[in-house]
Amino acid sequence: MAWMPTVLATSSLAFIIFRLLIFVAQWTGILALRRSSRGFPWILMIAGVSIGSLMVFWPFIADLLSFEMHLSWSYLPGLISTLGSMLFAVGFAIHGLRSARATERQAELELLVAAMAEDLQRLQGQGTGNRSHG
Amino acid sequence: MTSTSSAWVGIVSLILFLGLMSGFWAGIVGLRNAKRGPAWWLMTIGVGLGTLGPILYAVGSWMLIQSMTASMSSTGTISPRPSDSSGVLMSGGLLVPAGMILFSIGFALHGFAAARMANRAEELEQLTAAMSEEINRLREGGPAA
Repeated sequence: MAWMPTVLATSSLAFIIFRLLIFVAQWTGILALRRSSRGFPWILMIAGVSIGSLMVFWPFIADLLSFEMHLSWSYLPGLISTLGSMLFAVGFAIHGLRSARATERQAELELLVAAMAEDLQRLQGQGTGNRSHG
Repeated sequence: MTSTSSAWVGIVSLILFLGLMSGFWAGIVGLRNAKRGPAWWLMTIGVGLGTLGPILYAVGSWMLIQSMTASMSSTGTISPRPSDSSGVLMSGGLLVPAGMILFSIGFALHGFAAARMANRAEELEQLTAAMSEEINRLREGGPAA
């Protein structure tokens, strides 16, 4: 069974890389969304991601503080990270529903700008027409 | 006592799973009207795998229990390798992390796309304000000039 430690080390390394990849991607997304989705959904999402990130480092923190959890409370970290995911999911749902409205508003604005540009051209044409007549 | 508490754990996990997934699916459906780029597809595939994983896991556990009870009743011993169900269990367990990775990458891309969209929206707001001012000026000043 000499291969066992290698397999364990590889799988825990893969696990750490996996958690870090998710951690980096989620924080990148959250920070990029800070302008477009500021407000309640963004706060919910950032709270969820923060709790999730804290729980990623929980084993190290517990080790550092030499904190020993009673066996009957061992489900607590899992429960807390699930609640974190829950907060993120609620924030993501509100963000999705709001961004549907924002997309509609943007489409309206694009149409408005096109119509206004046409209007402006017409008015400017009239203006130059008047000037040339006068 | 133990079976009651494990039943409670099962019920609570089911409720949490349904709550989480309905939140994610609501967000995905809400974002569907926005530009359906690679970010949206990655997030959708990620949430889809995350939904499928636990279902496969539950099916795998059920198959495992079925095969164990079948081997118990036929031979009197628990068969050591119920291979079909362990395959289903494994794939169910692997789908969730794969889905999480895909969703996170999609979410990061979506963040960048949303930032670009916010810039464009700001530009459009400024453009509309400037243009309406210009139109008003031309309308008021046009006949006089």
